[in-house]
Amino acid sequence: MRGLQKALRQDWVEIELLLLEPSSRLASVPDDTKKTPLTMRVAGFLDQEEAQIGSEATILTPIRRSWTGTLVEINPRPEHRFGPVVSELQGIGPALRAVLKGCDNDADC
Amino acid sequence: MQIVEALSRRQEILKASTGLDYASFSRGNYGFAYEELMNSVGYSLAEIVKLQAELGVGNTPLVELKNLTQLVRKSAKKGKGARIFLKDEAANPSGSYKDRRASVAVFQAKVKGYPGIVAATSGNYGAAVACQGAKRGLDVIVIQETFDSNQLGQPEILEKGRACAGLGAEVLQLTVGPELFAMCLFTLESTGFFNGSLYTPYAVVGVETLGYEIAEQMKKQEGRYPDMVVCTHAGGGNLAGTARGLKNAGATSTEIVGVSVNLAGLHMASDKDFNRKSFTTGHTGFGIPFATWPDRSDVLYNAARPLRYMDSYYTVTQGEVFFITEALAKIEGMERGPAGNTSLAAAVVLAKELDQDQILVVQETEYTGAGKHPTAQLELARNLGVRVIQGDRSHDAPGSVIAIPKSMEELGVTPLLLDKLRRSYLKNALQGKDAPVLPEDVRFFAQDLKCEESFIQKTVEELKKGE
Repeated sequence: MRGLQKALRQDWVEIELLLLEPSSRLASVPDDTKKTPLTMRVAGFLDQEEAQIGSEATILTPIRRSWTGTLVEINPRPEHRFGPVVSELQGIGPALRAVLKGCDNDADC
Repeated sequence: MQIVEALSRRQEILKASTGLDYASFSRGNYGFAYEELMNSVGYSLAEIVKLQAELGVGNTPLVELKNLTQLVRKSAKKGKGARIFLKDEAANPSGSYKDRRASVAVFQAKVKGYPGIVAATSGNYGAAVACQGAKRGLDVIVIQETFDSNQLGQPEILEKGRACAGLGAEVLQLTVGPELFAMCLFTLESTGFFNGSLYTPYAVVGVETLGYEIAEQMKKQEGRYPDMVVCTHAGGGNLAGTARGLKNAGATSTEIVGVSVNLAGLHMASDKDFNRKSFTTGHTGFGIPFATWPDRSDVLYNAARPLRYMDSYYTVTQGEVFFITEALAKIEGMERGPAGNTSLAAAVVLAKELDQDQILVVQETEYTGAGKHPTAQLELARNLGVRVIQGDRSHDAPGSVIAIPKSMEELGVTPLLLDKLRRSYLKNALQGKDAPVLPEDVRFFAQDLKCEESFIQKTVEELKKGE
């Protein structure tokens, strides 16, 4: 079984590459951003025999363009999701329903 | 990779990638032939309706929000409380009105023989381009401003990037910075792809069917045009395209209202501020700059010109949009947004001042889901130390506090003075240019700012005197 540190050819992976060093950023960029590099992430199919996380890797994107960068993730998994219930929102529905029904508060409905 | 040096070849790259010789539209010292630029698209309304319909774009439901209207009337003066309708643009193939914009851009790219299309976008437009590209057999590259320097991405941005990839695009996800435009130029140059910019005439003309449909549907259902159409405003294409469509349909008396979420104090290119907002578009961070200098966009002359069409402009708070999103879900059974509900948040306040027999249309909705949903947004906000509290707009502090109202009565809107925005626009237009303002320039400005020539002349005088 492959470890999560190594990807094989055709695995779906994500690489990261440097676009601009901090010193090369545009003058119009705010100071806090100017201290950071401009980097990019792109996902594609590994286009070499194998690659380790943290090492150089070349990929082919779904439209068959080639990018080379540092391997950062193998079989990346989207992390975004629904969040936990927000109590400041939960009461809104019942409160508005009560208004529509003509009750002073939803306990009377 | 020398992406920044592509900026020096901006004019040639934009000409090759749009097929438009922008310079040829220049007029006078400051203006350009706007209607000629829009007409250069060359497709009639009927042709655009057809190319949209054949791919399932447009013809979305216009739904009356009877319960929200009732709620507004409960707290309005007697006889007040206009009927509120909602144009459910989430019903488009990729979940937002952006499909209308992408449909024409991608169609043009295909017809002109480009091998693919590039879109620089916060995401919904990228998904729309990817969707249309998939249908028409064109390769798509989406360039998205995704992360801060800690590789943290706002959940809505991540979902939008996921959607673009899910629809087959190559997705380039950059850390925050205006150099995104340089990356866009670099990519256009190295691929020869079409520039699917939101600001080409193709991408604005595509929105006109939205305004046209509102007028036609309302005429058919209610025998009249709406009194007011409320549009979420960011880059300007949404409002400008819709207004043009309404006018073309004959709804020339309809008031066009723009609304943005207030993010005053947050810098859009700041690494620190980047994720401290719960809205990735539809906000003042785009809305005000694009109104006061539309030609800052990624093409030479921006086809999306909000001040040309806006009758009034308001801001709402992030908390108010979260409130109305919850209300729409629980009271009208429609889970949408919160993106796209900026206009709805203002509409329920504006409706209070209109008469009961008047009609107000909220011009869009957007799909919701993981990442986009209010719970995802508020979870990130809290993780970053933004306080989320129950409260009215007096407690709002973009980047620090999100105050969620608890009743309809607590909602409000803040009007922005259009004359102030017009003045800013003129200041930007004259900046660093010595050329005299000719009579045709005055005419251009008056049209572009929807005001009298006397206002232009007076303001130009004041600005030249350094006032």
